[in-house]
Amino acid sequence: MNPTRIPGSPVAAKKLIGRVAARTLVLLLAAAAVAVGVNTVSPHRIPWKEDWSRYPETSAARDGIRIADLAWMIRAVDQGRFTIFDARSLNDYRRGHLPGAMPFPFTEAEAYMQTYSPALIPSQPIVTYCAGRDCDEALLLCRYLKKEGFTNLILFAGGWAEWRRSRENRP
Amino acid sequence: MKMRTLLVAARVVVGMIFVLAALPKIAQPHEFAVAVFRYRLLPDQFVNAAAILMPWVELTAGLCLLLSPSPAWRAAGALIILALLAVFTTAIAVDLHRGLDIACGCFSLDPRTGRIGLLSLARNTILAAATAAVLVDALRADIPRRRPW
Repeated sequence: MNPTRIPGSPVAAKKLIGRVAARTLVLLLAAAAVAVGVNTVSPHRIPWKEDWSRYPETSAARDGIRIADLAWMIRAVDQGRFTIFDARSLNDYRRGHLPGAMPFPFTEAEAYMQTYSPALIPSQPIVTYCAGRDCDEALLLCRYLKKEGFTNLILFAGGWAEWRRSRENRP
Repeated sequence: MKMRTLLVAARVVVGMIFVLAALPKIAQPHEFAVAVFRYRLLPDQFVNAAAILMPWVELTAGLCLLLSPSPAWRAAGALIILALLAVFTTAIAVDLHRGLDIACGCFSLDPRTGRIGLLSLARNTILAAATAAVLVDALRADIPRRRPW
C-alpha cells in the first residue's frame, strides 16, 4: 500500500499541503505579474511610491485651493471674518471643534449645503478642515464647494489635531 | 445533495463578490490608493504597491474560485481570499477602534458610500465562514478517496 494514497496519513496531508501551497504561490505570482504589466502600460498607471504625507495639500494646490497654516488659522479665528466648516462627522464635531466652526460633514454634503446655501455667497472665503494631515474630507469638501460655484476656498491642512495640539501647548 | 448545492452557491457568491470588488479598483488605481491611504495603517511607501497588487490578487483568487474545475486550485483561491478577508477585517477593526469614520473602499471607491462599521465586520465574517467552508470542501475533494480494504 502506497502511504501517499492513505487519506489522513501524515504523508498524504503533507502532499495535500504542498499541492495547495504551490498553487497558492503560483496564483500570487501570476496576479503580481499581471499587476506589474498592466500598471506599466495602463493610461491610469500610478507610481509604485508616492509621498502621501502631504497628499491633501498637494492635491488642493493642484486644484487651485489655497492652503492655510496654523499661524494663519489662529489669526483667522481671532478675526472671525471667515466661514469655517468642519468636514468631519457630526460626532467628531460635537467632541470638539475650532472656535466658530460649523459642522459640514463631507458624507452629508448635499443636505448641509441646502441648510447653509441661503447664507453663503460664492466669493466669500471659506475655510475647511478635518482631523489632521492624514484625512482628506476637508479636501473633498473643498472640491464639492468648488463644484457648487464657490471660488475662495482655503484648506487648513493641519486640521483639528494641529489646532488642539497648539492650544494644549499654549503657555 | 443540499449541502453540495449550498457549497457550490457559497463558492459562486464569494468568487463573484471578489471579482466584482476588484474591477473598480483595477480601473481606478489612484482612487483605490487614496482609499488605502485613508486607513492610515500602511507606511507611505507601501500604499501604492498595495493599491496596484491587491485588486489583481482579489481578481485572480475570485476567478479561480468561480471557474477552476480542480479542487486544489479552488483551495488555493479560497486560501488567498481567507487571507485577504483576515487583512481587511483587521484593518477595519483597528480603524473602528481608533474612532475613524472612513469609506470602506471595499466595493465602491466613492468616498461618501460604504463607511466602515460593525456591518462591514459582520459581512466579512460571513464571507470568511463561507470561504472556509469552500476551502474545506476543496481540500476534501482533493484527497484521494479511501479505498475499501
